[in-house]
Amino acid sequence: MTTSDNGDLGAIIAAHKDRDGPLLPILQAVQEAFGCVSEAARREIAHALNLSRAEVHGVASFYHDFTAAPRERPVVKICRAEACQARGVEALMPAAERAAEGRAVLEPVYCLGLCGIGPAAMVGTRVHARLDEARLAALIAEA
Amino acid sequence: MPVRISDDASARATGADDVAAAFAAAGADVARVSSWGMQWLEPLVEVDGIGHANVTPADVADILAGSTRLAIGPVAEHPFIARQQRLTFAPSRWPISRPPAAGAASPRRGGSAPGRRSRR
Repeated sequence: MTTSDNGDLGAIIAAHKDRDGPLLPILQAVQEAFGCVSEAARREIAHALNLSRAEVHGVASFYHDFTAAPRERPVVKICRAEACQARGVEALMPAAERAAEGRAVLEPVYCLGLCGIGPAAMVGTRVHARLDEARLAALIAEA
Repeated sequence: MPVRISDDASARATGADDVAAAFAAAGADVARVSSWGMQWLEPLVEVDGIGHANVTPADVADILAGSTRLAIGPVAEHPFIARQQRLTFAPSRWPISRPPAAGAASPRRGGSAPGRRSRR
């Protein structure tokens, strides 16, 4: 991390450290600002909150949305839970994998809450439903 | 009379933002509201209490001209809604109350003194 990054990290920690339950808001803000919660950031957060590094690591590694290093490729989260399976998501996966090859990472997620209108996927903070092969491939191409 | 379009995840995932933008571009007063919970009808567009299901931007002109091609009747009388017992909020208000406009002062909640920030 560069010095200026450390400055931002300090500001993020300062903004949240006096809240009840400051760890998750800090992790979320750090992930948002830096695209990851690096090992160095985890140390600094642990120190600032008087937590062990193991505690911070335990929380950060439990949630898949916190990553230790920035994502090199855009992530497309495709719901693979029961309702989306029943609505045919598995049949879309070969085409999705072809569309993603070399440009995006496909990650399974287990339920976006769009069970009645699956197959569903999420890119960034946007959710998309009623996907077919063409729409899912287009999402991946634009991710 | 505003055109009521949900802005919950199921509506937005099925294109409600584009539909709302098309209504606004056509000069309609658009209110983004909570969803009735009928995902399969989203984007559900409510005009004078009458629902229009699975609306796309291409349908906007028709709906504003009074076409009933996509109309499903009064949303509150839809069998999925009519058979439910609504336990929270007054049925006459829910889910048709309009949230305060962005930037407007939020209504004060019981128990918190003026100016005091919630710790939650």
